Amino acid sequence: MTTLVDIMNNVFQAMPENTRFSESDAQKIQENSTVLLDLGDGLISGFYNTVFSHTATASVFEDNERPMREKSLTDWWKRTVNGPFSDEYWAWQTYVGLLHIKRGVSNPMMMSMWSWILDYLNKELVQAGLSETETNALVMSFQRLSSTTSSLIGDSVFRFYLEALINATGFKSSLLERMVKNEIDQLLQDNAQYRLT
Amino acid sequence: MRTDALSEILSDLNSSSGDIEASAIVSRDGLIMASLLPSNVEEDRVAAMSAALLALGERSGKEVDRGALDQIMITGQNGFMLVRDAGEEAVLTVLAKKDAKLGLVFLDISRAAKDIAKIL
Repeated sequence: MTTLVDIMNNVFQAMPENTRFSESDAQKIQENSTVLLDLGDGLISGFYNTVFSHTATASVFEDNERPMREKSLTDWWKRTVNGPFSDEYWAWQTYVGLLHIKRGVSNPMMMSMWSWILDYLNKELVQAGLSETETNALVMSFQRLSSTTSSLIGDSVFRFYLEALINATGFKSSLLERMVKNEIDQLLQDNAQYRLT
Repeated sequence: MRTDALSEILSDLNSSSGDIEASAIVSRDGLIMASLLPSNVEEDRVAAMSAALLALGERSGKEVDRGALDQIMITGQNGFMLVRDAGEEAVLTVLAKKDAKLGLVFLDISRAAKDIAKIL
């Protein structure tokens, strides 16, 4: 059985250390917590304006759900800016993968909105008075947070999707792996025309 | 040594009745252990499918409270595919002709499955 902690550990092991969120990234966010918290309201409203103005992302939500979702994102922003980046924090991010399966939030939706957050910070931190160097350094820390969180959520979606299939069918995970291995060469062949080299 | 013993069980099974056309023993995670399958059958796929059928059958039987799984039978226009538990490690898959005398086939398969389980 796949556990949330297994997924977390596998993701951290898979990511080269300098691509992962680090202690110094956490420290940089803490040092700028005042300005970051001040950006919170704009970030939350801009985020959901973007999500609700696009058909595919808007379709994830039910009527009148926006205030509840804004509250969740506000809580996440405050917790992220205030820290700490403990095991509980990363477990929470991994748990989000399960929620995304339940709600039909795809990985492209999640990753594109992370990109939106980084763009927003890049623009607004300069407006808020940070130098270009300070802004770049802080956005790089958020970039590593984005990579780490996206990896946790993306892998959580994939692993728990398989886990649900394993539970429903009684297949061993090694059997699923074998079935994929049996079929992958055919799929590569079927799609070979898309190779550029 | 065990491979030879498993192959011998399949040979005996296939020759025990003209109704049995082919057979294979596969692991629970879908690997071929021994087989006497026709050349037009892709062994790796049949192995994975057999293990999958058995797992799904066991899961379904449990869900609807039908007790321990005896066997799974697929009936097609050209004959039958029978999948049977052969102990904790293996699955026995048999292809039988469409006009097969199933009572005898079931008996032979049951005996072969017990022999496989003893060896493994």
